[in-house]
Amino acid sequence: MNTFSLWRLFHRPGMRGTAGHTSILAVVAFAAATTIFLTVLGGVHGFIWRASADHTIGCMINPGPGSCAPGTYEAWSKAMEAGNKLMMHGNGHWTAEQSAAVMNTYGNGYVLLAGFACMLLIVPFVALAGSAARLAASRRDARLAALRLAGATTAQVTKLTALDAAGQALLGALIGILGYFAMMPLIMLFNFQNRHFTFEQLWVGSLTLIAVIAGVTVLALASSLITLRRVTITPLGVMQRASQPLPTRWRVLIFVVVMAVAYLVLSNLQSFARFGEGTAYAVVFGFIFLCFALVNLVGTWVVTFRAKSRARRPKDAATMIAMRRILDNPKRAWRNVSGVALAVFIAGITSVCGLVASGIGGNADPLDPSMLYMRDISTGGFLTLAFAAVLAAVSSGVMQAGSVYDQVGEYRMLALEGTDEATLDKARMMEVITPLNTVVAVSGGCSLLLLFPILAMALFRPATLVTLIAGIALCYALIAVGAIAANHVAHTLNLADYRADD
Amino acid sequence: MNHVVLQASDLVMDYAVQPGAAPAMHMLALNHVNFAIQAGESIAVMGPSGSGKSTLLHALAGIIKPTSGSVSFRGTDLARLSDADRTKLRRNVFGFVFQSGQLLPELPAVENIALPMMLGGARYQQATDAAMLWLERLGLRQLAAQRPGEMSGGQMQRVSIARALAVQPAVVFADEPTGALDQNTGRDIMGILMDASRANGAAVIVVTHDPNVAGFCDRTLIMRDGRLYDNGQDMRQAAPRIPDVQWPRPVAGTYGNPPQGGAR
Repeated sequence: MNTFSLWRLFHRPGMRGTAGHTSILAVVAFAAATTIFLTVLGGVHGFIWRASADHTIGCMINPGPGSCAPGTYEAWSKAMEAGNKLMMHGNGHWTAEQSAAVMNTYGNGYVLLAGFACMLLIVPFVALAGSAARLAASRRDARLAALRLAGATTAQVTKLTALDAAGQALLGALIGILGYFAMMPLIMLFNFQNRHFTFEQLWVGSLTLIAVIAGVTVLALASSLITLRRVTITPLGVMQRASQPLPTRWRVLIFVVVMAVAYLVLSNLQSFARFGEGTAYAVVFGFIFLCFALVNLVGTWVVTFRAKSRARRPKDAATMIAMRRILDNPKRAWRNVSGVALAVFIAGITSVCGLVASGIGGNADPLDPSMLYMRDISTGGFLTLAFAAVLAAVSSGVMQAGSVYDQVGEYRMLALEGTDEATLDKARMMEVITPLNTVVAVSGGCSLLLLFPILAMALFRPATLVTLIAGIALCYALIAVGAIAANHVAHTLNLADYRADD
Repeated sequence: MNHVVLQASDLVMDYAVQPGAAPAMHMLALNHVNFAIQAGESIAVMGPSGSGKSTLLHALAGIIKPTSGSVSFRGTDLARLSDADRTKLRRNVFGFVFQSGQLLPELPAVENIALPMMLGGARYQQATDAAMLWLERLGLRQLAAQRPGEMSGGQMQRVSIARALAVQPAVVFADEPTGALDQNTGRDIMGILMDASRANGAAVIVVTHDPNVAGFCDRTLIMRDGRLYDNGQDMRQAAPRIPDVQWPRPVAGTYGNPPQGGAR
């Protein structure tokens, strides 16, 4: 029997059970990731469309009569010239036409920032796609072990699992494309460069769609193969549960040292000014990005530290169960909420852009191009924040719901022994909220610390803090929705009225 | 003076009438079963696979609702209790020992034993102190910080027994408690279970395939095709005993009414 026939054997109608539920979760995760990725890509495409004479990336990178479509470059350069002149002589009283002409000259800046947002979103996107792939690969323990016992080879079992993951990714990506189309009208409502996006601007093209479908499928395939490399599928089971080694303290040391260096560098930004404005920006964003990456390095350790301290004297049974589950696999606990670390960082940066916009905002003219530019950065920041938070929430909710299905035996046992649903719900919520609190504290703290040298006390202005808190509140709300969804999944499990093994 | 602690009357369990079940020719899992156990008594329920033993155990413990008939604990009909009250009942006056997989894999032994006490409202320190006492009595103190994945099957069953008895239950339900163990370890485990239960005055219902396990109980009932038969044979003389030990008392005042006159 070849692998495909084996795969078909398990995918007949009515054959799925718990594996079917986790498949749906994995498909949902892939669909959400694809929708958001395509939406962001659509935004980048829209800005390239606007910044290029003939709406192609080649003409934008290398503008000139040779690389742009005939006749387009000339008209474009005239418009640019007009915009540049207006910018030089603008006196604060702008008409809509004048403002639009100047906004055209900012085109490349918009593309750069949209690309930066895209890069930032790669982290939570890969995390979500990775968790979906892991979900596809790791919830079939009993079936895989039974297959091995029945005589299937390791290669057959591996191929079967990879095929499962790839199939789910493919289906998820196709649904994600529908989501991309559904999101388009919403994105068209946003105002960038003082005008709305059109379908033509947001449409990434059929070739890109095919590439994204292939990319998501390959990513899922690769992730599931990597996951399978970490487990041994024997006829007796897929893996033995054993304590995971806890992360070491040297990570914290590295983190503290880099944070201190970053603080010093950002406090002395003027020394980089002589290398040009671009270098200064590169230093600021480079260090912020580096610190974000290091938050991920230190996150597992901090979550472990916090859970250990709460597990020492838990105040009730729910806390004890939740903290022990976190300590059982702190990496998983961190992974569930790590996307929020980025979202909080973005919330910090966005609040700063809002502050800069209000600083320039001594000029009350709503058509002032520089004012519009800052407002757009702020709007883009919020969109990126929302996307990062949604990706993190979906990732967290999917992983949580997957754990519920995975631990159905444990839940039955707990219910049998008289554990009420409220205690189980509370334990599941704490399992997410404790790492979330940790990530918000660490990430928010780092964000404020790094921005403090640049903006000093302005950071603590009510407007900035309100923006930051609103961003964090959004993260909490979305993650809570994910956890509530996982609790809903748990309530649908049949914990009592199932056929006893007589 | 002994009295009936748990009683079932005319129990019928038909899984085919459960929501979602396909209509088909079927046997009743419980076919008009009557059952009663007195405080401190131990009963073994034996029978072939699929005879309805575990279904009976689950119905008696209020885990599943029978299609018809009633189960009463100290005169209270379980069907009249709300789901929350049945949950409380299971937590406070019933103890469970199963074949395997009943310990939470993330919790060390001491916390696994302390968990039911904490669910009943005991504080962490109070519950873990009581749990440590149980571990000491069972000679498992060195396992206090070990998680189930780091223990042998016999050690896990000992911890499970400690957990079931730590709340001083009125009834202990044991479903194939030695099913995953070798004969010698199984005999030890049964000795510990029965002696500790007797010391606590708990009634014990054991579901088993193994006549040696049934030999530890006061009475043996036979289950076949959903019907329960009392063979009336006293197999207690076959039960090997372990020396009497002083069993720890649970955390006081938290867990329901103690059984009356059950200790022997």
